[in-house]
Amino acid sequence: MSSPTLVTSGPAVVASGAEDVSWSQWRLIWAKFRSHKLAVVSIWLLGAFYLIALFAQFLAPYGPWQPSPYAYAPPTRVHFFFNGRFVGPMVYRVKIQSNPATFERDFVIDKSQPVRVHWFVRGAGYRWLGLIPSDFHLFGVGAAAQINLMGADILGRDCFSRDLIATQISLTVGLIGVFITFVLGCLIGGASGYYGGVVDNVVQRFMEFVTCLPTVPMWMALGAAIPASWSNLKVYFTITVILALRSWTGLSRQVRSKLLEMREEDFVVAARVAGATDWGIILRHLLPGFASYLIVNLTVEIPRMILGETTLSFFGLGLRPPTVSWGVLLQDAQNLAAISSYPWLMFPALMVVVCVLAFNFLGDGLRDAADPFKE
Amino acid sequence: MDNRVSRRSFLQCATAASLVTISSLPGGAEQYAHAQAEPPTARKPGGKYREAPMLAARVAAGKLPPVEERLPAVPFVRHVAQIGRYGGTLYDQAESPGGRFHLDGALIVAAQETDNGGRIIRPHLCDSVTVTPDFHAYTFHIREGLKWSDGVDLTAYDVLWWWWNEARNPTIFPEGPRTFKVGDEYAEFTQLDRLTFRIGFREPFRPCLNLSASEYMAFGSYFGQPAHWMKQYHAAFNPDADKIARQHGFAAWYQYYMMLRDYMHPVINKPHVAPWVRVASTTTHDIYERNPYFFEVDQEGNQLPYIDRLYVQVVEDERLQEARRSTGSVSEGICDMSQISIFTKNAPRGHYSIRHWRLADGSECMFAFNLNHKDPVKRKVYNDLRFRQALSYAIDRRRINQTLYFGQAKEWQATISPTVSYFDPAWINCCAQYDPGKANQLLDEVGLARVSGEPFRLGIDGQRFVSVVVFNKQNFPDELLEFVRQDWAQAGIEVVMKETDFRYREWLCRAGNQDCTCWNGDMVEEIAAYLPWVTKWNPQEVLFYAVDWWLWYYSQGKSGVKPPQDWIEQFDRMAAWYSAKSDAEYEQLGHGVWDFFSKQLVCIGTVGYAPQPVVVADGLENVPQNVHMGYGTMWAKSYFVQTYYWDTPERHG
Repeated sequence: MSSPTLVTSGPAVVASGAEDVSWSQWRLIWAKFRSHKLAVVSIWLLGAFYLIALFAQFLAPYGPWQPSPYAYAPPTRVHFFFNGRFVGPMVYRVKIQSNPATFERDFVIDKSQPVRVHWFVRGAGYRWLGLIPSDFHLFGVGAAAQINLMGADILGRDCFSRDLIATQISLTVGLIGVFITFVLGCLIGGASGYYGGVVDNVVQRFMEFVTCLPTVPMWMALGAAIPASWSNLKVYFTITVILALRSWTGLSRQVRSKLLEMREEDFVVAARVAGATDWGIILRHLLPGFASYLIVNLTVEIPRMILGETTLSFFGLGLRPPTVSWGVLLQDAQNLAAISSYPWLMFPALMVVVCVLAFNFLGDGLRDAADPFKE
Repeated sequence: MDNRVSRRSFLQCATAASLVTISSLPGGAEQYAHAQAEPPTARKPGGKYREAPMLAARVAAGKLPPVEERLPAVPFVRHVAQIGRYGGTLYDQAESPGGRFHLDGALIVAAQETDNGGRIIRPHLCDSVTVTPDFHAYTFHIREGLKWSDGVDLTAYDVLWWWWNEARNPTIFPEGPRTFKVGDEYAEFTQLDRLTFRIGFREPFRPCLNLSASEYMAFGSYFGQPAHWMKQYHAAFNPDADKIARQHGFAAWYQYYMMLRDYMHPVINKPHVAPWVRVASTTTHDIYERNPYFFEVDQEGNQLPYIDRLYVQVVEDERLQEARRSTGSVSEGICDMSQISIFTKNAPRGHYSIRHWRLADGSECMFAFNLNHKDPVKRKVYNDLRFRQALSYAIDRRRINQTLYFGQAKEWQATISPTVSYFDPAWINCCAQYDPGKANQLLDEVGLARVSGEPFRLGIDGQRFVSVVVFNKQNFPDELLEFVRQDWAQAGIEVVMKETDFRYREWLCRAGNQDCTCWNGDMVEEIAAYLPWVTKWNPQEVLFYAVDWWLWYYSQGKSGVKPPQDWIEQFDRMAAWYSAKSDAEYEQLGHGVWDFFSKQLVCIGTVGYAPQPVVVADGLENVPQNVHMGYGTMWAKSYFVQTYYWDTPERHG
C-alpha cells in the first residue's frame, strides 16, 4: 500500500502544464469520489432517507398505530382537477362496503365532492425525537376523508406513515451495532497486529475465546434473562450491542494480519523515527492504508443488519409488532394475499432495496476514493 | 390390585347394571399378560349389504370374505343426506408423513358418538353403554362381529390387553395414564365376557361417560389396541421386540411401540377400525385405503365409506400448503380469513367453492391473569375482580369483530358453549359490552391512579405498572392482540404482548412467573368442558392462572398457597360435580362451577365462534353446510367424512 507515502512526497500529482499544485489527501479523495456518479447519487439518497427518519412523524399524515375502518384500503389517488378545473391536490371520499358473504371489502369512491389536501395540519400527537410534543403534520385531509398514499394494512393503519416511521428504527438502531463492531474490530485488531508479541498473543487467545461462545444458547439465555417488561426496541437495541460485542472478532483478526504485514513498511518506520506515537501510527497511517477494505466490510454489514432485524424474533429478541421497522412491515407482506391483492404492503421492500444499494454504491465510491491513485 | 375394591364395585355393577351374564371374574394384570385371544365365533351372514366395486373385485378373486361376513351382526346404520356413489380419492395434505391432516378426525372411532355440538348422541363402536345409577361403573358392549381392518375380531380382550400392557405398563408410561384415574386411584378394567368390559371407579366418576365419546377412547390409537398385532412389538410377548425396534432405527422396543401406538404416525398396515387405513407412507405422501371391515352402512345397506382412498400429500411449508389449498389441490380445507381474497379469486379456476363454517372456539383468544402472582402488588391487583371486569369492559369487541371477522364472530365473554345443557345466557354477556367509562371508573376504584400527562396508570404502590402477556403463535390473527393492547392502553393499562417459545411459556407459567397469558378458548362443548384436565379453565393447565391454589387444594394443604374461601368452595364444587350422581345434580353443580368461572372472569374473552371459510372441491357431495370446527367437536369426526362422495368418482381417481 503506497498511497500515504505519496501524500508526503507532494509533487506526485501535478496539474499538467500548470504551476505546482500539491493537493491534500482529503481533496484527492473528494475529487475521486465525485467522479463516481452512483456514489454521489447514493449519498444524496441516504441523506434523504436520514432526513425522512429525522422528520418522519411530521411527514407522515397519521400515527403509525392509528387504526381506521379502512382495512386493506388501496392507495388513495390524489387528483388535481375537479370537473375540469384545477383545484390543487385533493382526494375523494371512500365508502367501505363490507360483504360478509364473500369476506371482501369494496371501496366505492364517492366522486361528488372533493376533499382538499391541506398543508401543515394538526393531527395525531407525537413527540419529536422523543422529546418535543407536537401534533403538526406536513399534510392531511382531516377527518372527512382518508389519505393513504401507500394504502392501508389489515388494521386500517396508513402504510405510507408506517413506511416513513419505520426508517427511524431501521436506519439507526441496527447500525449502532455495526458501528460498535467496526470500532472494536479496528482498535483491538490494530493493537494486536501493531505491537505483536505478548500483546498479540493475549489478544488472539481472548479473541478465540469470544469466538467460541456458542450463539444460539447465548440468545436463548438472553431471551430468558432480559426483563420481559422491556419494550421491543430496548430489547433489540441491547441485543444488537451484545451481538456487536461478540462479533468484532472477525474484523479484528483481518485488521491484525494486515497490520502485521504493514508495520515493517518504510513509511511506518519513517513515522516512528519522526516521533509519532503508536496509536497515531495505527490510526493515521496504518488503518487508512487499507480503508478500502474496511469500507467494503462496513457496507456489507449494514444491509445484513437491516435485513436481519426480525430473524431473532422467535427467541423473543428480534423486532416484532407493535414496533414499526422495515423488517416488521415486511413480515406482514410475506403471504400470498399480499402479493395478489395488497401489493402495497411490499413497498418497504423497495425502500430496503434502494437503501441497501445506496449503501453499497456509497461504499464502492468511498473505496475508490480512499485509494485516489488507483485507476 | 386392591381386591376389596374390585369386589365391591363388581357387586355394585352386578346389582345395578342391567347387563349381560358375567362370564369372568375381575382379574389382575396376570390374566391378560399371557392369555390368548378367544377364537372368533362363527356368525351367520346378515343379508343384503352392498359394497364398493373395488372390494367386490377382491371378493370375487377370493382374497376377501363377502361383505355380510365382514360387517358386524348389526352394522351401525348411518342416515346420509344422499346415497352416494362408490369410488374416487379425497385429497388432503400433511406437514409430515403419517402426520395430521384436515380430515384426520374421520379416523377417530370411539365407543360412542357425538354430534357437531359436542354432545353424545348414540353408541357407535359399542352397541350398548350402561352406567350404574351411582356412576361407579360403566359397562361397554362391543358390537358383535366387529372386526379390525385385517379381519380379526375386536373383543374386550383388546381393551384389557391395552390397559394392562400399554396404559399401565411402567416402561411405556412411567407415570401411568391420567384419563382413567380419580385422585390417585386407577379405574378398574374388567372383562365380563368376550365382548363386554367394565370400567369401575372407587368414587363416582361421571366424566367417564364423556370419555367414551372422546378421543381418549379412540380405538386403535389411544384406547383398545389390536392386541394380536401389537404383541409382535411388545417385549413381554415377543423376545425379539427389541431387535425389531432396532431394525427400524429405534433404541428400544418401547420407543418403537410408542410410535405404533398412536395412529397418526407413518406406520402402515396397523389394523384399525376407521373408515380408511394407511396402506402407504412415504416421504412425499400417505395413502389411506378403505377399510373392508368398516362397520357402518348407509340406510340402504351400502357399506361406508363411499370414497375409496385418501391421498395425503406431504407439504412441509405452511405457505405452500395455503397455496395448494387456494389452487384446488385439496378436496376440503380451511382458508385463513386474512387470505380469503385469493381463495375467492381462485375459486372458479381451482374448481372449488367456499363454505362458511365456524370455529368451535368460545373465544378466539382469552386472557388469564396470574392470580397467584409472586409480586404482592400485582397479586393484589390481579385478584381484584374489578380489575378483570374493567379490562373486559375496555375491550372493543365490535371493532375486533368488524375489522378481523367481517362482523361474523360473536362478541361474547369467554365461557362454555350455548349447546351445553346447563348453559346460562348471562355468562356470555358478563362484562362483554364495550364501556370505557366503566372500565376507567373500576380501575380508579382498584387504586390504579392516573397521573396527568402520563399515558399509563401507576400501580397501587405508585410504581410503574406493566403487565406482560406471554403467548405462543396461535390460530387467531396477531392483530387481535394489537387491538386488545390498544384498548387496554386506552384505559391506562400498560401491557406488553410478548411472543415466546412454546416450551418457554409453559416453563414460565408452571413456575407461576407470568403476569398474564392467553390461549384460544376451545374445548367448551358439553363433553370437553366436563373433562377435568381438558377444560381451559383448569387452574394449572394451559392458562396456569392459579397453580399454587390448585396445588394446595390437591395436596390437602401440604404445599402451595391457601386459596380464598370462595375458591376453596369452587374446588369443592368441581370435585362434587365430577362425581355427580344424577342428571339434575350434574346440571345444578355444572351451573354453579361455570357461573363462578364466568363471573369471576378468570379468562377474559374477546370474540368467539369466528367464521371459518372452508374450500370444498366441486363435485364433492354430502359435505355439510354448517359446521362448528375445533378440538372440542373433534374436527372432521363430527361431520362424517365417510359419507362424502364424488358425483363423478371416475374423474377423481
